[in-house]
Amino acid sequence: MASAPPLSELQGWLAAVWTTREGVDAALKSPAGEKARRWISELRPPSARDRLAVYSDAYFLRLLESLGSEFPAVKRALGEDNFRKLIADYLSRHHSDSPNLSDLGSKLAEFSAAHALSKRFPYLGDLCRLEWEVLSALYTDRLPPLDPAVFSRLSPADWEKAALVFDPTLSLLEVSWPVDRLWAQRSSPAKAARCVWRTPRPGKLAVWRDDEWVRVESLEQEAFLTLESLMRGTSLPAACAASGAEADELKSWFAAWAKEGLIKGLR
Amino acid sequence: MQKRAVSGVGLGLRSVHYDHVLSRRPAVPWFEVISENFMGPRGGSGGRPLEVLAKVRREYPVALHGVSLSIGSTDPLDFDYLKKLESLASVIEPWIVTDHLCWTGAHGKNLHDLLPLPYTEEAARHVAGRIEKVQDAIGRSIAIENVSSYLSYKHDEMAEWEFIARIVKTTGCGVLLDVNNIHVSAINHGFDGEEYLAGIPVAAVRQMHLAGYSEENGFLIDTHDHPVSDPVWKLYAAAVRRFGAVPTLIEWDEHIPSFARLQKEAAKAKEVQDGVCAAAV
Repeated sequence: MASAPPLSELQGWLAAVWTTREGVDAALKSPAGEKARRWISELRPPSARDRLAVYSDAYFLRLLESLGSEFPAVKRALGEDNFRKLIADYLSRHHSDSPNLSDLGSKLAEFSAAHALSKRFPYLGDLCRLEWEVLSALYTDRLPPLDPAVFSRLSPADWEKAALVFDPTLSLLEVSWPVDRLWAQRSSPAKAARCVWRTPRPGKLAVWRDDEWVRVESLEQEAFLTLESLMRGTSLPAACAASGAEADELKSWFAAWAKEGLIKGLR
Repeated sequence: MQKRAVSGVGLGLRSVHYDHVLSRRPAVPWFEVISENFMGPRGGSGGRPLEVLAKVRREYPVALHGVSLSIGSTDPLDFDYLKKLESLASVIEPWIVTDHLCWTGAHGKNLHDLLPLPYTEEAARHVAGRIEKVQDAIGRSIAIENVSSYLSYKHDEMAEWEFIARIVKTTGCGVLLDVNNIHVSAINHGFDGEEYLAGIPVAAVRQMHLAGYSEENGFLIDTHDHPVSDPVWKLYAAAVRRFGAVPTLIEWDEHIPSFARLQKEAAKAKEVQDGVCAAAV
């Protein structure tokens, strides 16, 4: 019998076998598969092939299930079979290189936007992008609530330079399709999900986390641009002047953002 | 956060039961959580899950149980991951930090599975060296859990329990003894579960796990989706006889039942502990 392989080589062969998309039988025909099989004990049934297959089968199913739970609206919109195909293709291109399964979907939006399924489901890239933003908001720490006293402490000169601090969970998204509607329906029965939008309907979305969960809301163009400008650090007076909005409108935007906990302080 | 001595039978805390636990504060001696669920993706942090865990921790002792340490991998240790683990542990102040005696990936690919190691001198030295580095990096000792396995290697040089004993002796780490995993592997590989128990150093066992498995043509799969089986209860009683009533966990991760059903399973484990301990007096 040949001398035992170094641990690193053995792990490399096995990782190659277990991540082969075509399954364990195809993998065992490869050089890595042939080498790996040689070192699997067959003192008792089942065979080495069947023992290796337990891990091969579990690999894809585990990652499919994980991505399904992190992209529920995508899964619902595509249906089980299409979602499975998308993820199989994705994993062929992007294996996991992180200890945290939550990182696995980080490239799914970019990948799916270029995937053949996006011809039938043109909103696919936008929906993946939205769900990735939702996941990011879920795993971002919030700042403490706004102390209203910070406003009263500002001198008129300070007001000229004051910029708002927003909650770190807040992100803004420009989409070509109204994917926020699909996201809102993510837990409804899949039958109702078949959506047949043919022409883009661009929209602006805000994603953030409140006390309970992640929120996704549609914003008007002017409010979106003003919020975007403020998040970039533009001073309050400059952002308000550039918005072109009436004072009442500005007031209502700021009241809503404060009420939703998006504004966390002044800088 | 008050530090309390931990004993009895704890439960795995899963998101479906967050509301129940926070609103009803059920009588459970401690909870175990999966460490990675509270770390967030790259560039992220604990976020909402960690907020919930911090609330739970105010009421209960918590064990941090990892699935991604990959202590047996030949890839370099992931120090970003260890930094996150250390940070999580400093916030939660767990009564124990555990992970699995396995590898989860190699050559840059993470398979997110608990993959079996060959039980060789080379692997024992490799794992022991990494455990020491991990314990240094996170500033606390860890306990390693035996995994269920579906294959073994022709070039194994020792039994799994001898491999564990070797690592414990070298590193001083603890053992999280998964009694269900011993039974699953015993059936799949044809060894005696009680012989396994006899080979584990008594003082090293800090925690035990109990769970349910599935059976496919006589081959057992560790699915955590059933009640604890009769042979595992029997082996658990033998484990309590050898190691004492160490804190034990009921794991149930798929088809998760009601909280009351989990408590019933935990009560059964406590009965076994109490029965064995009473008989020993």
